Amino acid sequence: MPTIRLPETRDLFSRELEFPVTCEAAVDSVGEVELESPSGTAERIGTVLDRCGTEEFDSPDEIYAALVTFVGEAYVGRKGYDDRGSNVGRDDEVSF
Amino acid sequence: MDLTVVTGVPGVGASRVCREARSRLGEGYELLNFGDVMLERAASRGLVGSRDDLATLSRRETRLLQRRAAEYVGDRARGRAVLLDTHLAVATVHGYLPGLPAAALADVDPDRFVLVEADPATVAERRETVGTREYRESGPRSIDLHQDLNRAAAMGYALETGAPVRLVENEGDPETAGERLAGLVERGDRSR
Repeated sequence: MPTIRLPETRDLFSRELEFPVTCEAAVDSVGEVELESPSGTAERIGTVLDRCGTEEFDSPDEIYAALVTFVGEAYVGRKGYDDRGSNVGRDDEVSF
Repeated sequence: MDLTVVTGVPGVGASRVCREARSRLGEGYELLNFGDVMLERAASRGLVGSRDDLATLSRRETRLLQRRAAEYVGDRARGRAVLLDTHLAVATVHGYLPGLPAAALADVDPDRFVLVEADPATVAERRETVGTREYRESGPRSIDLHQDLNRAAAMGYALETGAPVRLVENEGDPETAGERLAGLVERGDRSR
């Protein structure tokens, strides 16, 4: 069974789904694909979508939002924690 | 390894055009959305609950997420051709910000930039029909400005990287625009 990270679902949905797509059709098509979590625990896309309660998705943005919202607790890291540090340089690097 | 950055103002249909292009490209290509990566990182840190919330983050948080997302994209681009859907000028609560600050641009290392554009009035009309998105700016004049800023950002990034800038119009049907984008990507890939 393939295991992918959340951002890789954009490509998967573009290849496998026609939008708008019903939740049921999406689960039939890509539900077996597993999402890799930072903790190492994988969860099936179908399991996540079954929790969301949405009947139809108009776009990949909508289905992605559902995954981000309803993915299991194992996916959510420590609030406010960044494992790569927070040194992003001087604040005046950004110009308008 | 070949990376095409595709950009367009919200509502122009750049994501749809990318999707159409991806469906015409074979194995060895991957479609990524920069906002997806930023949203994944931001949500896992409890910073945001939705894509629209990304525009409300502090400039510092935004820059941090952009760098992490760019690292991820750079990693994915090793060994495959990537179509990267992103915003080069991002409308935020602070104003317009660059979508690819210097460090992020270096990690993404694009081979070309493609601007997806339509008449500002067309974009404004399309936005009216989409009820699920929040648009930071509205009206043809601000859409026109945003498209100009995308052009300026693309040329600025082109100066930094040597990557050329192309235009794909999405005034009519997105299938045609997607076909044109796929053609640009394939021709660019072959000419490397």
